[in-house]
Amino acid sequence: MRRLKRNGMIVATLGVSLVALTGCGSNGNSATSPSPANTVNASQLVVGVDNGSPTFTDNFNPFAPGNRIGTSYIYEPLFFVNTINGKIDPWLATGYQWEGNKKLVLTIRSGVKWNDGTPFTAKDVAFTFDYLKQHPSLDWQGLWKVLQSVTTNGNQVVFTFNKPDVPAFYEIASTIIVPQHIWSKIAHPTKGLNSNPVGTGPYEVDTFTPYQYTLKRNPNYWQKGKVQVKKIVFPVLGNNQTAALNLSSGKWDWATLFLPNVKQTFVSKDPQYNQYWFPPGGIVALSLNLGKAPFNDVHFREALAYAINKTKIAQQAEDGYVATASQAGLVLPGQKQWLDSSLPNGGSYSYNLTKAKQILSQAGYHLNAQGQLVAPSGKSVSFSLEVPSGWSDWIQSAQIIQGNLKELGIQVNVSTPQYGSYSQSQAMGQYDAALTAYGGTATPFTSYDTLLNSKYTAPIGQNANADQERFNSAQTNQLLSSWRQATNQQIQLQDAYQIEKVMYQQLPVINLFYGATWSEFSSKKFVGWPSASNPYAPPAPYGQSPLMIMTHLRPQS
Amino acid sequence: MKYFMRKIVFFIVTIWIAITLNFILPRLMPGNPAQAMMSKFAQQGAITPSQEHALALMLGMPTGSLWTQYWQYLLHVCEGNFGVSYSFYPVKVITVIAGALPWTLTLVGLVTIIQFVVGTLLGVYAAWHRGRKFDSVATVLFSFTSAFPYFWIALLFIYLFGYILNWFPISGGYSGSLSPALNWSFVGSALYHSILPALTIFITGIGGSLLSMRNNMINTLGEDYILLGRAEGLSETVISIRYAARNALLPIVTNFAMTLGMVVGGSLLMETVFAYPGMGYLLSTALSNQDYPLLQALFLFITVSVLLANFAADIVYGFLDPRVRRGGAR
Repeated sequence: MRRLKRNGMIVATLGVSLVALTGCGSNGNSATSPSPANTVNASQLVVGVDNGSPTFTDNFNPFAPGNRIGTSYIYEPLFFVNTINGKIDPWLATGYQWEGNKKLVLTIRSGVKWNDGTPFTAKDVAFTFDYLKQHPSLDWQGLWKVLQSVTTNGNQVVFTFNKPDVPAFYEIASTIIVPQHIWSKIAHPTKGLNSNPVGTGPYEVDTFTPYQYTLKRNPNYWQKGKVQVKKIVFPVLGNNQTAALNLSSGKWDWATLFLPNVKQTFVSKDPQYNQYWFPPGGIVALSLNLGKAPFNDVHFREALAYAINKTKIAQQAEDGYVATASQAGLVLPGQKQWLDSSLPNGGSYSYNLTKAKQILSQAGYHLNAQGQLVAPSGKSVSFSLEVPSGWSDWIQSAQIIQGNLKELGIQVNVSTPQYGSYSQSQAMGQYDAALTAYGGTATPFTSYDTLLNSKYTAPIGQNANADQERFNSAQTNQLLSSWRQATNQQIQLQDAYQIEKVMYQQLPVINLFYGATWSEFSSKKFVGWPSASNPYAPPAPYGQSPLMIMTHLRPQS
Repeated sequence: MKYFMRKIVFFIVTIWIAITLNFILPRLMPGNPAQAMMSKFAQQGAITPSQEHALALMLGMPTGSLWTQYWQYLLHVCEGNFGVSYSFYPVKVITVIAGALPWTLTLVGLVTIIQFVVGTLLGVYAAWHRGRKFDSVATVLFSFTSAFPYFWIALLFIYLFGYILNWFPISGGYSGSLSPALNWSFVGSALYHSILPALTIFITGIGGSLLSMRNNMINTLGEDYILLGRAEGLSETVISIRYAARNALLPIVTNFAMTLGMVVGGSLLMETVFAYPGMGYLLSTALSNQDYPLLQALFLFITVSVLLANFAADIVYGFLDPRVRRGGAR
């Protein structure tokens, strides 16, 4: 842990905490956060999102996994991809062009500077990608499995692929660009803390202490005029209960918490300004191990899809914050442009116990004397359903499923292993059933590919990187491959429709509800937050959304 | 002398066993750290297949046979080199622990000692005046407080004194605007932030030491030598303190030594509730992230300090109670 850094704030608050110590009888709370609670500092935004353990390490290294969340306010990608609707906004690059399906040409924005004053060029972009090649541990997206070379040509960067992979554009677009003049001297990119990050983003580090850090505006920013929040404060998040108190007392302006009954616990504290928006950000599904019986029977899966009361799960386990998910595998309404309108009922299975029973009996299942469901093979059906320990809403969902399937005569045991063991048993294919999340990617291709493409899967007992439910369909692989190679939107759409049909008819997983992005914010100081009517970015204070949001917020007049 | 020699040999053997167990246990846990780390990202969005591989590369998973890993581990333990923490990557484990240990030692250590002293003294008083008003009130009251679930009382205090009355900060070890340094504003802020945590541990813990001292002492008060002391006309103070309390204290010393040893492990619940920068919080972070290097180092610290405290108690015991020494020598 490093300390003793930029000490402007230390001097300023010397008095504050002494007062707090002597006067703790009356209003000592000023010591925790000198600004927001008592004197509303209109120019700064307090964001409760970064959890220290419990204190912060001064780590703004964009390549290190445990870096500060503020890092994403400092570094920028080439394009901003809105994962809600897939919209692409030019960012460090101004445009892109496919030449065939193995060559992608990006045009780089001119006039951008790093926050240390050095000009940003196409060379930095090419350098960043070469850097990922040199250090495979940084290539999180596995780009160099398909890339052949990245070269510059004036203000253009040319990506040459060794095999067609059109959706890789999204991964290239969202890659964080780092300055060549700094990182070319760093041999072990993840080993350093990078306390003085040099990026192109709207903010730079101002002060740092183990319990709080602040960011200030980057004076060289290329969209300087759009950035109106002068300072962003990140206090330590703390546990759920204290975080909820900090949010509802108005000390924080923005947080990403699951709050039970948010209208009562948050909005009602300041109804004029306190708002929330929980847009769907992914799909939570019941994954069944297709390598085992009876899960390999599509009729069995179909019966389950009808027997599980998804509405009840969304209402009870998720406090009604989320909607039930379409079986098509798209996050709606954001991805509705991909939805095949010929799918019945928007591709949804609605709760219908009678139909479930009917499907089972037609497929040769029957109930024995004890009321247990017996498969055509003669075995009674029971299985365990795994949910990570401590994920209380998922556990509750699993219990509802348990109750629903009891109606069919299926005995379900809900087990709650540690995440590591949960994830391992799926990777190795040793599970029966598990709740799992997927989707929420900029293009549905990525979700479908990792969910369905059998090239990532492995026999039971061996590690599978993806397709862990072990779906195996030559037709689907073919469709994915065609989509991967297509630069033509129409072909992509046709492949998507076909895959949606696979999702709907073969139920590789049973979709339950849309996982939400939690976001509570106050418009007391700043307005212009993303919303359902203006979904310009997911409302999350982490990831790349802040870049978009911080260029939209403006002071409350 | 034989007694002390035996204790020293025993101590060394237990340390070795502890170190070895410490090596084996984390390797028996299911899953691997890269997967555990993914759990953090899984809650923040989609994961692509290559990410886990990249993480595993970055963290440098242990390689080689178990035997080689074991020797390497022993060597590193002797050097105080516990490797790089996964959850605080790329910070060294030893640095992480050095940042947390002082907080736990000061707060939890001090409160434990104060709680022991105050609880024991009150216990002596209650036993001496057993059946009287103080005894009946204290016994009931402290049985009650010691049965409080810590989590509940801590959250209650936070809500009451932190949120409603706004007297104390609701979390953290010191003000967010300060960096650790030895100056008045920092020490002041740290003290101020420690009031609620200290109070909650004190309240939930004091009952235990009071009640055990009281019950022990009531037992010793029934011994013949107390009767003899009375018959010889010794003053009440001498009988209560030097005869009854001193003997009643003997079993409690061991207990106290154990508790002191455990202090190094921090107060897991307190530190989690208050986001206090101590060892308990580290332990829970390390556990939930399957941070083997940090976990091993923490367990090692805790085991060694409990063993040390036990060893010290054994030695002290040898002096306090001659019977223990003679028993071995025969």
